[in-house]
Parts: sequence; C-alpha cells; structure tokens
Amino acid sequence: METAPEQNGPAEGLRDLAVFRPWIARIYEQMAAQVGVENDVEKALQILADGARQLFQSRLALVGVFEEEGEGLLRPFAVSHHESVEQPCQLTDAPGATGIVRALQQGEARAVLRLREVSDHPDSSGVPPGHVPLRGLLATTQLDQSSAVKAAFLVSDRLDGADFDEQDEALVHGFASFCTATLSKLTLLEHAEAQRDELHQRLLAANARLEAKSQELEDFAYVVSHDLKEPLRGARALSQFLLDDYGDSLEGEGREYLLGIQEACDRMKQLIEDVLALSRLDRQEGPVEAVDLAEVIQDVLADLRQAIEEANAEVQVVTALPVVPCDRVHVQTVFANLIGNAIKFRSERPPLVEIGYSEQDGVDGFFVRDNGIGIAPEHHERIFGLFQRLHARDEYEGTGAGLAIVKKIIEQYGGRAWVESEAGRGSTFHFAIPRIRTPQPAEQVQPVAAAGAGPTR
Amino acid sequence: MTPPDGTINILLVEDSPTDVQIARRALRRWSVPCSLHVVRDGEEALDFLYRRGRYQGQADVPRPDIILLDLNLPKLSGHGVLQQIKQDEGLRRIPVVMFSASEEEADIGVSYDLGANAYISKSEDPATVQTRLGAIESYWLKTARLPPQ
Repeated sequence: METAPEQNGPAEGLRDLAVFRPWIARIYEQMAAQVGVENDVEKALQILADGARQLFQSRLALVGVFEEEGEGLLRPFAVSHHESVEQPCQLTDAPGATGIVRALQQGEARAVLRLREVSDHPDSSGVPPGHVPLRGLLATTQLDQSSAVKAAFLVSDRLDGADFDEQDEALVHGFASFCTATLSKLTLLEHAEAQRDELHQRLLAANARLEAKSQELEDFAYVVSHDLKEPLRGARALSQFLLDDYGDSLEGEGREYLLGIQEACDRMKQLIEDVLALSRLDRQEGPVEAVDLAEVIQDVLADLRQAIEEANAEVQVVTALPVVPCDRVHVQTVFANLIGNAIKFRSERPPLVEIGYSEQDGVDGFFVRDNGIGIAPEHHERIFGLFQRLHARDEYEGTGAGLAIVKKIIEQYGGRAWVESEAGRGSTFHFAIPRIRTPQPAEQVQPVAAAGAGPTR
Repeated sequence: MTPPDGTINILLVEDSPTDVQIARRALRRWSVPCSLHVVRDGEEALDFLYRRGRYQGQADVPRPDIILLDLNLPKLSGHGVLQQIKQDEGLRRIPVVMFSASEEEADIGVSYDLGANAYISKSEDPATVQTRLGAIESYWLKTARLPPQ
C-alpha cells in the first residue's frame, strides 16, 4: 500500500482538496486492484483496513463484518495501525471498541458516529491501559444489498491530531459502501463454495450407496440363480437316470413324460441365466474404451458360425462402421442378439442379413435388416418385453429375453431401439445412441463466483 | 496307480443328495473298484480327514486317494476346506478335484490359487458330468501317478 503521503510531510497539506482528490482516487484504485484478486475474506479485510488508514490518515482503522447471530461481535475483522502504535491491537483493545461496536450493531445502518474523545460515548470502555492514547473516532456501519451482511468501519486518532470533520464524514459513507460491496461479494463466494463442497460430498455419498446397492443386487442375483439351478440339476439328472435304467420298459407316453421333464428343466435353467444376465447389465462388464465395431461384428459372426452355416445365411456389412467409446461386451451382446435373431427367424429363403450405420446430428444410428418372417405392427412394442414370444415353444427356440437385453443396454447408453417390419416382409431393427462426448478443458465447469472474484482456487 | 489292495478311496464333500446320487452313479461305471465316502459339509470333511470328532476311533475312515470337493457347502465353504487341506503338511498331497456348479471365473481362479488340483463343473447335463468324472478315473487312476501315502 502506498505510503508516500506520510513520508512526504505533514498531513495537513492533504486537506487541500486539489491534492486530496487524486490521492483518494489512487488509494481506491490500489484497493480495488488488490481486493479484486483476493478470494480470502480476511486478507481482503486487511487490504481495506490499510486503505482506510491511508485514506483518513489515522493512527488506527478497523474493518469487520458482524456475525450473523452474535452480540456485536465482528468476525472476521482486520485492524490496521500506524507504526507508532507499538502493540498490535485486538478488538477488545481498540478504542472502547467492544462497547461501541455493540452500539454500532444495534444502531441503524449508515448512521455515523463521530467523537472528539473515544470516552465521550456512553458505551465506551475507553482506551486500555498501556495503549497509545487515541483521540477521536469515526465509525459507521453498512448493510449490503441483500441485508445479510453488515459491515462495520472504524477509524481513530487522526495523525495530524485534529478532530474528524465533515469532510471525513462525507468520505466515510463512500468508503463503507465500497467495503460492504467487496465483503458481500466475498461472503457470497464463500457460501457458494461451501454449498458446492457440501453438494459434492452428498453426491459422493449417494454414489457410494448406489454402488453398494448395485453390488448387493448382483450378489443377490448370483446367489438366487445358483440356488434356483440346483434343484433343476437334480430333477434333470434323476429323470435321465430313469430313462437310462427303465426307458426300454416304459410303455406308452412314459418316455415322453420323462423327456418333457428334461426339456422343462433346460428351459428353466435358460430362463434363470437370462434373468441373471439382465440383472448384470447394470454393471459395466469392462472398461469404456474405443471399440472398433467392425471387429466386434467379426467376433459375433465367428461365434454364430454354426448357425450361419446351418441356415445357409449370408451376413453383410453394407456401410463403414465407426469406432465408438463404449463397453465392448455390451455392444457385442446387442449385435449378437440382433444378428442371431435375424438368422433364427428366417423364412424359406436363405437368410440375408445386412448391417449398417449412419450418423446424424451427433446421433449414431445402426440397423440390422433381414429378409425373414417379419413382425406384424401390433407386436412391434411387445417383442422388446422380457420373455415375450410370438411363437409356440417348439417353433422357434429361445426364451424371449434377447430383445429385452438389447433394449436395456441401448437405453443405458441413452439411446432407443425400435423395429420396422411387416409380417412376411422381413424386419429391420434400428438402434440409435447419442454420441458420447468427452468434455474438453474449456468446457469444464467453473466454481460459482461473483463477477470480479478473480482466478479460482 | 492303484494301491496294493486295489480299492480306491474317494472322499466326496457334497451337501446336495442329488449331486451325491449323480456322483455315485458315475463312479459305478469306473473299472477300478472304489469306495465312496460322503460327508455333508466342510467340518465333517475335516473330521474325517483328521479322524476326529464323530470319526474318531471309527472303522472305515481311510485316508482318501482323491477328494471331490463342492464349493457351495454349509458352515465352512469349499474354499475354506481346500485351504486347510493344502496348508496341512500331512494332507496337502492328496489330489483335490473341485466339483462345483459354479462357472464363475472368480471361483475357479481362487480354487487354483489355493492349490486345487483340478476344477470340474457339474452344471451340464448328467451325462456330461458322468463323462467328466470318468475322465477323472482315466487321468488320476490310469495315467498319472497318485502320491505316496
């Protein structure tokens, strides 16, 4: 803080307005510059207190903020003192500050207190023993716009020994307003940061709870499926033993009954595994990485090789396929189900399956088209439901979980799946996913800050 | 190879009666005569192996040549039993074949980490299970050498 006027000679010269005005302007400019880059309330208060002492050429200055629910306590506050005041002042040592400060808090904002002697005030407790004598006091308070922040501003003991005058009174309002605006902004900043931190903590806690729930569900699904499958194993084995040992001597439909038991067990086992697979979709199987979809299709076709050969099917990729960030297992499951269905639900003609991709407005669209039996429009929604089947159990195998799994995965990525089809005219299954954007540095959210708060911490 | 008196002792640690039936049936097809001892949980298994508790002073509590061990057991888990066996100087030589319905990689991995000699899944149809247990005979009793007692 500039100290030149004190070094340059007696303070009286400053009372000449022609000299004083530019002097005031310089002090304000410096304070504004320093406080503008300061996010810490206490440091800002010190800048303001130092500025006040310069401005009023006093031996002591004090700037503080009243506690919201207090009895006239200033917290935080800062004191600026001339070098002739040897010991740093605490609030209680400042000129009768305690009683006067309380009176200030209870008084009207903007009321100015101007005293020749500190002890003139009825509430004053005087200057503490051993303290440098202080004569004169000029004090005021100010509320900010929201009336939430009340600041106090005190200067004491003019260096030139004179009393504080009307000129000082005129200055003090402006100065107090400047302080209050600054402090109000800083307080808002502090509150906003505290809120942000609290929200962050709550988010972390909610996330942890979600993870735990997800793990619980996974464990539950695993245990349930394990325990549900055990009796099935028993029923299947024992019926098999019956067939092995007594099959030849069973008359009529006895063999059929036993085979029926076995089929029912196999179906149940598949249902349980489908439910387990569906419940697992909430967890990511692996990392999200850049996946080359052309490679994924090749893997899917390799897995389906036997089905493709048996059906004499032809599978073509008719457009280029992109590389997208995703969980590889998820996208492979989607294509495996759609391509598998395209081959399975074939008509008399050899199946022709086409896979393609297009991008529009930041949305990745894929289709799997076949020339199979098609689906009547009234069923287009139902088929995406769990275990929904359109055919008798012995017409086409499967539990009807495939499309439910596809739908769930796609929806997890924020997309949607649908079908275009008519009975006897083949089907085209579509799914579209908004392209995931990784945030760029410039887009990272800045913490809440009032204008002029300066660089974030 | 088969021990001098020709009978192989198998200890089956399994709590599901049907799975016991499946195993028993498969073992009947073995060409090598074997005696199947069944315990229903991990603690019983250890009592049998240490010849303590209900098995103390009993006849016909031989040291098994092979242990078939399920994972999903009441009280002490299959992994727990496996760990105790493989950490015991007197028992760890005995080949332990995990015999479990779990196909979880974690379960299989931990089994091998704890020193299981093999892991057989029993989650297929019983014919497949029988074939696999037949392979146990073919491998452990006809190909590999069993450890000396």
